[in-house]
Amino acid sequence: MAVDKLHVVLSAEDVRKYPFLPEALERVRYLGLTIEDIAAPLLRSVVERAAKYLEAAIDSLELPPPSEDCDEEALAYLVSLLILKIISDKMLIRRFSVAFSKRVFRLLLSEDNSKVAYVLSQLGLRVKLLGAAPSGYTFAINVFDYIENIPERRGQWKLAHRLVEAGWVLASKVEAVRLGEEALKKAVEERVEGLRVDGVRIPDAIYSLAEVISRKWSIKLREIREAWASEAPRGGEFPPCIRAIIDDLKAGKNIPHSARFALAAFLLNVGMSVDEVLEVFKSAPDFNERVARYQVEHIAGMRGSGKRYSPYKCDNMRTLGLCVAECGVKHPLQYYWRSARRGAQGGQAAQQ
Amino acid sequence: MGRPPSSEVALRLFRSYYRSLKADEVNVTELSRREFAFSYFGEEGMHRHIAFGSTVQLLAHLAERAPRHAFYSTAYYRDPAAKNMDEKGWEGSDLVFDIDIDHVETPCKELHDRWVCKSCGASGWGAPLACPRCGSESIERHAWVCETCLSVASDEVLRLIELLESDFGLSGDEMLVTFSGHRGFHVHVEAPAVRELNQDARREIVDYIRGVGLEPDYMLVKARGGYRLRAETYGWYGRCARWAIVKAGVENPTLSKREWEDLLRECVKREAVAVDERVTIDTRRLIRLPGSLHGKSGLRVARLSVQDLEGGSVLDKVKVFIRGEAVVEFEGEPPRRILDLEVGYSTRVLPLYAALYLLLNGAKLSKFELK
Repeated sequence: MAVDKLHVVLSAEDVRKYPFLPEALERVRYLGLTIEDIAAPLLRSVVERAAKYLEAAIDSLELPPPSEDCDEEALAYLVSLLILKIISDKMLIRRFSVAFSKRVFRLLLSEDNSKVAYVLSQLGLRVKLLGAAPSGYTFAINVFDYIENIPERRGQWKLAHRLVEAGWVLASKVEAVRLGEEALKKAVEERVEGLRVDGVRIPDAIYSLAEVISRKWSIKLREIREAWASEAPRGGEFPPCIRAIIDDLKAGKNIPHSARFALAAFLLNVGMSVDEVLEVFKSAPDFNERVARYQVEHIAGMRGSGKRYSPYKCDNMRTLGLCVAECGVKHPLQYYWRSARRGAQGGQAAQQ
Repeated sequence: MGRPPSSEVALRLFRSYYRSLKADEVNVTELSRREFAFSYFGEEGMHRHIAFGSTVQLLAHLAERAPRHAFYSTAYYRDPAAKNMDEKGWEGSDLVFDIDIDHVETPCKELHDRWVCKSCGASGWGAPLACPRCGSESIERHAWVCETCLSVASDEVLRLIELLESDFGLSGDEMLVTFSGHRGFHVHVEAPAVRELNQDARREIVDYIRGVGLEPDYMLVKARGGYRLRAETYGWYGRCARWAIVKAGVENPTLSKREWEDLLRECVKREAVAVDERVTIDTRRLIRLPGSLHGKSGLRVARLSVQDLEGGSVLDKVKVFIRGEAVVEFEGEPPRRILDLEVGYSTRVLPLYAALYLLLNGAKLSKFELK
């Protein structure tokens, strides 16, 4: 699949806005600016900026706009990644990648199409610009890159609702930029993952920032966990899809393997024991205790790889034809926990 | 452990096949990065986590053990012989489609498929979803394939290939099409562009191919007196536009929401391809080894070209034991048609491939003798 080469000249301004581009790294390298020997005054402003970014990420807030100085911005981005690597907490990395990608989304929207296409191509998306497109769409995205980066697997993003031809999906500028945002989130996370900190002499200022951020993050984490704990579920309601499978079972219907898996995994994940799950399956017309026990124990992680399986998420349930209602969750377990939490809150209120 | 005599015959035949199998009949790309799995005659269970350094090694194993079933992973692994999935080191997976006769409507099931209701004991021909007498879904089925089933499923495969080319931009030489060995076909897409796709992305492809989740609200725009399609070319819009011409008799019709809903449903029914979603979504699946024999049919998992599928010569490519005959006697009612043959109570002598199919797929035979 031939993709037109894009000719875009990047300015210092672009490096400032998009410090993840190879040009930004190149510039840092060209200036001889390595982490080990950033000059003191620059180091101070870089560290301060990185601190702002990471603190915003901790609180899931918007990142402040990029620095006026492109070297400072490029370095602050690198230092942020470095600190994320030192702390190595998946949730924090995710929070940063989300906040950072959102900022890039807004900045990219005001760029011209060829610059958008260039930035997207640097994020690994194969992109074509369509001149005066009769369809009104100005971008075409490679179909495989498209499906890997759609923000939602429904509605306007559903591939079946798109104009698709010969491996390309037509997209508007906003949509193209949104796909870029998703790709960037993953790219940032991969970048952090791939960083090697051993063997690099890291300036003290960066280490002390890492400590500060780490401390703030653990306080935040404790808050998050306490919030979760106070909403601890106690017996929630089953979602319609799971109830439907149980009804079918009770009615003596022969339910498909995928439904059996979904049900067993669901029941195990809400805390039922293998024996309790087997009890539910007893009404299956072809119930065979030996085989069923083996399978349920496998799903419970007591056999084989030792991994406990999760039930299918809603997208999968839909594909398998097991979804029976639109209940506003992304995972059957989410439905259960939510109702359990509501129940728990109601219960607490009653006790007070 | 002693094998039943019928197993001995099948094992002998399988061994003779595998001893003359040529390297170019086993189409496995990057063989040393794949996991293999086998089950053998007279043994229970599956032997997994097997790896080979070369096609020569694989052929030697096939010739020596003559497995009843042979599989390989659609995934590429760093260490395919590792016992545990995490240690294997997943490094991508082919995009695979499975078209199964069970999921395609065929007119011939009445001729060869038997069912017995486990609740009331009724039995008959065909493949009903529930017992027509007592309504129970607890049904034991015995299914067979014939030329008609294969031809209907071939059409499904051809439509899949066309869709992968026209919409996904894949080319025929990036696809490996094989007979699954018994009840369907596999299409393996081995293009580098698809190897790293995650399960979500694969599900999006399956949904697209099966027309799952198509909603009129996203496809229509308001027009005077009703709604029109948002576009008339490309993807599902193009398919719907063609159906609209058939149904409404004019190009680009304006119809009510309700009419569009019916038309969309009809369009999906006719144009969607019945692929098994679980196979495509699974990035760690074991699938029939091309060139191997299927232990429930004795047919070859043969590589097929578009011409084979179009020309209806699938059976010629997959029948293996075409020389020789066997004498069989049926206990109970035989399927009326299998593969390319009509069968009846009085049938005594059958071509070897057909007799072997009956034997392996569990026909009740009181006699089976090579002639």
